Amino acid sequence: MDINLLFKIAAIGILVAVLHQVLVRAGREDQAMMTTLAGLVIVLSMVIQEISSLFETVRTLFNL
Amino acid sequence: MEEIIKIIGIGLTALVIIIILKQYKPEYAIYVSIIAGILILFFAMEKISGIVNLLQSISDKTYINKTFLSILLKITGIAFITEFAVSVCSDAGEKAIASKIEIGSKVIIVTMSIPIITSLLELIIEILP
Amino acid sequence: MSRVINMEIIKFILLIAIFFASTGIGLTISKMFENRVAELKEFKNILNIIKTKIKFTYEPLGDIFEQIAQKQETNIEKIFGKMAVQIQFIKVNDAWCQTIQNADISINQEDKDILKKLGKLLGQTDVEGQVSEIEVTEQFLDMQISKAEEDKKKNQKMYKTLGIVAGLVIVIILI
Repeated sequence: MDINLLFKIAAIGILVAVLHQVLVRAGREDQAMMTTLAGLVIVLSMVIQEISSLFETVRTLFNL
Repeated sequence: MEEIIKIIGIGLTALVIIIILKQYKPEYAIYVSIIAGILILFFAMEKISGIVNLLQSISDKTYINKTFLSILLKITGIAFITEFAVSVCSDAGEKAIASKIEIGSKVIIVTMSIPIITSLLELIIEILP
Repeated sequence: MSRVINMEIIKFILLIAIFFASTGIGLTISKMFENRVAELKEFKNILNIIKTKIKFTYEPLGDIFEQIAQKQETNIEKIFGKMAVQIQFIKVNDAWCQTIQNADISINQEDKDILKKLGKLLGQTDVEGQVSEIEVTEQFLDMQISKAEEDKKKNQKMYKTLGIVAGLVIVIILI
């Protein structure tokens, strides 16, 4: 739970963009789309953990 | 002082990352903004726990009904996370979803405050002859 | 406390290993495209030698193969050496097809099929027929070579970049 997560997502985003470019350049559009989707799912799974921990903190703090 | 510097640092770093990412993959920018929001809220949360404790200790000394204070705190919490979700949605350009979340949270806040309203009405009825 | 630090070091080493492994896989695959072109060119060269020998010296196939295999430098020459041994025990067609099919080289199935077709006529008909068959195979090989060049241009760089970037992505996700 710190600033590293931001950099991690940024790095994954940029690398997925590079992968996408390379695959499109090689004429493999469908695989390029798959990598984009996989990257999105991985990042989403990381973000969802953080969102759930935020909501848990709010819940305990305000006794919701 | 320590906290505000951290919060500003996180905000500015997130801003730079988002601007870079928007050129390549705009869909990742929203994740970065969500994570930045969560980080900042966590810093705020540590301070808020002190405020909540203060309110509770004050209410212990007075004769205010305990349930009312807990209801107030719950409403504050709901407003907090709703504001977070609404700002994320409107950041992503989905104004319609944002306004729907707002409506939902308002309805829930009103239903939660029903005990306070009824006790107020009972008080008025008692006072009236 | 020291145990935690140890775990960190092990994790770090493993991440570096993952990165290098992925880069290596990418490089190996991209190397395969280069090798395919080189091997096809060599096959064409050797077929040319066989054609000349059949035309002018009338040597038996086993001797020709042995002469080709003498240097034993590249993989292809080793294949012909194997063939020269096998040809003494089984039919030319079977020896040719088996060694080419089982060869551990970078050319793909399509190239192998084209080369295997040549085995049917090699050592069976008269000089004229064999030479014309080798010429036809050479034409097919030319086509395969230009195809392989195209594939190489398209895929070689992609697999190199793919290996490095995929390694980086895995490492960053696991950090």
